[in-house]
Amino acid sequence: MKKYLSLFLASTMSLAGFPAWAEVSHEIDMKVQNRSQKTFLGAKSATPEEYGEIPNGFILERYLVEFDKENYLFDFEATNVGLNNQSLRTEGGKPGSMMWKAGYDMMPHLFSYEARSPFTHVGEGTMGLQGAWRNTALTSHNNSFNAGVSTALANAPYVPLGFDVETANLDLKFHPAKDFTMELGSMRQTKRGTKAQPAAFGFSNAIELAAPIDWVTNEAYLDMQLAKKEYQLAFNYRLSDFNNKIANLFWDNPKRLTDQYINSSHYSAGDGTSKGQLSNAPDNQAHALKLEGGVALPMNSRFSFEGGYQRWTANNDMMTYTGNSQMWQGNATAAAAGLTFAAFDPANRPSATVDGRIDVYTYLFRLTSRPLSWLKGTLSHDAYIMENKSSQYNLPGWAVFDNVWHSENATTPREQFREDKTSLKVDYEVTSWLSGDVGVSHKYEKKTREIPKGKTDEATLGFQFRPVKNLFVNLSGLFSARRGNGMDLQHYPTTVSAATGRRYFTESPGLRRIDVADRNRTVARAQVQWTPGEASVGLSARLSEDKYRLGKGDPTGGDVFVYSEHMGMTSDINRSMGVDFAVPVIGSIEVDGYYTFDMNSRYLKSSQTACAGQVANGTGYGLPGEPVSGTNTCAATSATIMLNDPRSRWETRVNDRSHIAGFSVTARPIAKLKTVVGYDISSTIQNLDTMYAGSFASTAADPYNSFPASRRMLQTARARGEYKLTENLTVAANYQFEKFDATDFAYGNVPLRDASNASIFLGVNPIRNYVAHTIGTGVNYKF
Amino acid sequence: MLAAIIAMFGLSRTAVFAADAEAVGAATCLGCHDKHESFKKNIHAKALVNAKGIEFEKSCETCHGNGSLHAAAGGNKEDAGFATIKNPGNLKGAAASATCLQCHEGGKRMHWQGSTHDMKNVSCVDCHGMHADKINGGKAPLLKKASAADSCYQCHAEKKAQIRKSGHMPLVEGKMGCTGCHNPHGSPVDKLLAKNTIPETCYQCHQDKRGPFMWDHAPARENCATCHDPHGSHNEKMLVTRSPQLCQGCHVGGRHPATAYGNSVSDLASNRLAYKGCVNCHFAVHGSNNPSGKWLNR
Repeated sequence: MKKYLSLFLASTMSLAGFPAWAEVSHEIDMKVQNRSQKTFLGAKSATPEEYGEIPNGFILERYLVEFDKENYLFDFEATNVGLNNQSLRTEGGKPGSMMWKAGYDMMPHLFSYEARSPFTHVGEGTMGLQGAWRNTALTSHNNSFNAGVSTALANAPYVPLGFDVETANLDLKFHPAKDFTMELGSMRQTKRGTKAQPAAFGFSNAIELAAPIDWVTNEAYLDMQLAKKEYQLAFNYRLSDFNNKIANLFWDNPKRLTDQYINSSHYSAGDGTSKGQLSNAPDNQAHALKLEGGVALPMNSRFSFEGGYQRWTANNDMMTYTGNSQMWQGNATAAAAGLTFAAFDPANRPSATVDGRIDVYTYLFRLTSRPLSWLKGTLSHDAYIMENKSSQYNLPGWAVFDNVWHSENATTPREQFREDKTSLKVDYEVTSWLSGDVGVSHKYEKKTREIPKGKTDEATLGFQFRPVKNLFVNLSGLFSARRGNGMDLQHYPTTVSAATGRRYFTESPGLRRIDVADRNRTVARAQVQWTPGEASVGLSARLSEDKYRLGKGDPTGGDVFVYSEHMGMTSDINRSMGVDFAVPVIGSIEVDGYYTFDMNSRYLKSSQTACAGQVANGTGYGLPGEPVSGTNTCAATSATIMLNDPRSRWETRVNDRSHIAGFSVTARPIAKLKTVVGYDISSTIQNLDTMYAGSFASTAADPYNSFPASRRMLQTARARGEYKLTENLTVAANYQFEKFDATDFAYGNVPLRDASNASIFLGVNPIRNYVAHTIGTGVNYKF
Repeated sequence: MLAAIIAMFGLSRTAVFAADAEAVGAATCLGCHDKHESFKKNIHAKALVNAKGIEFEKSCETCHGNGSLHAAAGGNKEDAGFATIKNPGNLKGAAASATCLQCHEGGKRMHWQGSTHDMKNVSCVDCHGMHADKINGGKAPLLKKASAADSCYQCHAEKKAQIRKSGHMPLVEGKMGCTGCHNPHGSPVDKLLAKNTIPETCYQCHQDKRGPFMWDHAPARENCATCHDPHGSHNEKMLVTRSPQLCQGCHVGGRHPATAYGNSVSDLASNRLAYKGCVNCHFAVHGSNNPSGKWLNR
């Protein structure tokens, strides 16, 4: 077998222009395993197979063949052969002259084995209701799901939920002339299968589909480089072409067989349209050009630069506003809502196509110098400029959930931004055992956001100690301040009260979103690496704190009913510490392990929005002229307001705590035998704590409580033994125990149909508990 | 005189001796360092011949410097000549890397100098073992550790733990590595990203999120990490925190976004809390091309 295989491969390579091979080696890993997985509550947990199949029976884990002769090499490797996560890879050529690589890789992304849905993909992106479901709806024209629907839903078929990613690539690298390198290659990736696609029909009506995915991406690149010792110059071009074969998605409404538009309650009842429609991810192309280089300068200095240009485009057909045939000016209710045309008519689309285009310009200049052996510094400036040149469209309104028309003049946004950063870093060696570094940077940001301009100043400080050869201590800190400029309340979103004409802010102008708000950031990090003898011990600790604050300007605009403080996220604190070690204990036994604890706390401050008139509810102050309505109920004529009222205010804290640890003991009692036993645990807990809840959120009769904590814990215990029978043959046996425990109110209570009879989910719990035992035996053979 | 001056300033004697050494050839080196016999199969040995015209016999001294004085010391570490050989593994960051940069200054190392790793005195030999046999099974280029991720975990231990959280990318399963997103050899941008920004990095695999969209969601366009933690999370989709709290960090106006959702105000099975929370309706959070998509629900 070996002889024939070697001959075959050698002949193949010879035909390809390679010399006869002198050395050929093969290595094969294969095993037989049995996995017993028990899942609680019935359905099989998909968690352990999210990214790869775990089969029972024979597995060809790895086959590797390598050829070597003087200046040539070639290898081929196959892993997990025949499984849904298999990969094939080959590489070879004449290093320094020409090399090639090719590969094919499969990877699943499995979401669930237990998804059930009455919807079936009938082609062209249309999800139809089938069988009893369709008949039930046909006979009832339901405004809400009836018992018959519920019965039919209980018999909904299982549907696959997950997709497969297949990637093939070919890369070539040439050295056509001295110091000149050229690389070119291509990649093709497909993603096919289904994903959980929300497809709501109304404010309180969630529908979830196992929607089909059929994506293909083709990519190609060309890199050219001239690399002399004194200077280097490189150019590269990349193309990425994404194609979505299902451009739009349509789905039947289980509550309606025929379109209607009778009143605005369709918005919440979800019973107006017979079909829903949405735009899937558009086909798009990205072209990227880059020129970069570097040149050596006197005094151990170097100047490097980069300039880039990209263009991202998408030109899909534009959908109609809706498919609801009753949404037109001839329908009295629609006309009353301000609709003056047929929203379902393609002729009335803002444009036949969505012409999206983004141009990106980038540049970098960096000067690095090491004039003295104990001093080095770098000065750099880089910029990222994204210009959105997409066509803008003016719309008179839009169809909400395909059920009701919302009149509001709107222009599609062109989100774009620019960042310019200048930084200086200096590293100096104080003594042979102590060095330090300092750095400062200034970043200027410009965005199409509520805070259109900002700047961030940052300073870093670090020390590295190496008091003895086997001990290294690294301490570093970062301090930064981001400050917004140009917050313009005049352009802050407002609504106008129909009753009084008074203008209200629709959200608190004190809300500064976390990616543009004024922010003070502090980061401290400590790291120790100690390697006494054969042992190694590492310690690390990290603390980072982001504090957000109100920026320039008076957010109240002179209105006493508006909060004068910062709302939204107020701080985000991360703390982590960990240890890892590898220690030879006695003789042939070594123990290694790690433990990390981290905790994240996010503080959120908000306010129940209220009707402007609600504050005059008999117990508090009110706004003159506004109609009064019940608590948490807004009269149609009343505007909403972020009310500066302690009854509306609420604050929460989200705590994420994680303990992640593992250890293993490796013993080699005799030279031919290696045994390993180990245990790993990953435990995370999330709490959502109420810090303060105003009386609008919490009353004696209906107290506001925190959410139940959510938990995830995966424990793995494993044992493995390897015995080297001969120089070429090793036999192995292994056992693994896994236990996954998770509790989460958000996933544990997702039935096919919710208690209010308003929603249809897929009945999926993506974190279902399981226990598994896996036992296997295998061989490693080199020939 | 020169030696006296050098000694007075405490400078290494090795510089003087190293300059005086002469080439002896690989055969002499392998006389003692026979464990590196397999270097003949190393990609470096082959590339030196093909790209630089340097025969194997000269390969050791191309990186380690001329070895006559070192060889003459015969393994006696007390002999001044012993230390004249250059061992990058014993040199500090920049000096160690300088050996490799003789040939590897371009390519992905174009911006190595001045990069975070360079400034922190990380050197090539902290991660790479130049003498490794062949190309390490193709998994990673001459790494000392089994994978690129294991190399990174040497210093970034917290990431080794984080990636084991419930919501994670397939690093643990070996289907991707740190270098899919980061260029440890130097990058013009923060966090040594391989691409210009975090979104561009994500678009490498998530091309469907690239748009451009008729209705963009600004934070999705600017920074995916505002909502996702790519290194692993307790939450599904690697969200930094769950919905609705995630969304309420920014959206606290206009009725229901600001509702204080808690255990009593709404049923935990409500479509605003259960499963995907806000995304149950506002599912086009990465952008929409539908004319009715302003609220990102079509």
